[in-house]
Amino acid sequence: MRNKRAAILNQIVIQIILIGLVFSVFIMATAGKVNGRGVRQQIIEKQTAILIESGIPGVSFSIEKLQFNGYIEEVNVKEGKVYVNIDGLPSGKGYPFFSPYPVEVIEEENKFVIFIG
Amino acid sequence: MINKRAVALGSAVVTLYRVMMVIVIAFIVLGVSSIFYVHYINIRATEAVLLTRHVVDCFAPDGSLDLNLLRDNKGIEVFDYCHISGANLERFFVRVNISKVSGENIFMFEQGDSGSLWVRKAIEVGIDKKYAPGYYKGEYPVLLMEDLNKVGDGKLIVESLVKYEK
Repeated sequence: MRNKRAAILNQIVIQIILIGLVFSVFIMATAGKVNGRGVRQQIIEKQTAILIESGIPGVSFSIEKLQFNGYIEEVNVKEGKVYVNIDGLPSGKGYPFFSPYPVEVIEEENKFVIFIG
Repeated sequence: MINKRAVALGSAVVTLYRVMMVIVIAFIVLGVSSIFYVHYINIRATEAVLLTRHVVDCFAPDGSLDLNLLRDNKGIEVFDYCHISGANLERFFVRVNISKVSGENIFMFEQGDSGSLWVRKAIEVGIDKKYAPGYYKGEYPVLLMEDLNKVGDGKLIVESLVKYEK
């Protein structure tokens, strides 16, 4: 009788461990995707596009190369798109923006400065 | 006579096998799903607001709207009139409506695919929010001018829609 109860308890413990294992693998995989370079690149490209779109002539803003999000190797604006290279991941498509004013990117030692107008 | 040690060993092997199988299956499921899963950030609603702001600033820079200037440019495209440039401009739809306070329509300018307004309604009903367009409609009071003379009060209604980028 005692042995049977112990066996059931044993099985329950094993099942809980298995569920925990699968759950932790799932969380790790999701966290990896959400914090991945692709997502970080997407965030910086879209933030830059919004800042350009909301900019008026004479406005400039800078993007630090070393960020919490990673190391930004390149910020490029060409043919109406923003391209950001982060942690060695080059931008494939870029993000399109609109603006009535010309936009220029100047690379400095530790930041990229974007001039509007 | 049951060999108790053999039974315990067998049970341990089976448990180990089960654990390995669960891990392998979990990795296969997550691996396959991660190929199709892309975390997407949709900023099109913000872009629609910004586009509306640019168009309003362009048509009525200081809150006054020169009707003669618009008469001279009748039939012009909104983006050309406002000098807005960029990539994928076909993803935008803009409608500018200028009317008197009474509601009488004076001018209407459009650029882009007006059919996207229907698409927006279809997407609002359900389907994938990843492709949901950004939409904003603003109504602003303006002074209607003709050759620097005020001719009355009016309304500037700007509707902007931003579609999925290619």
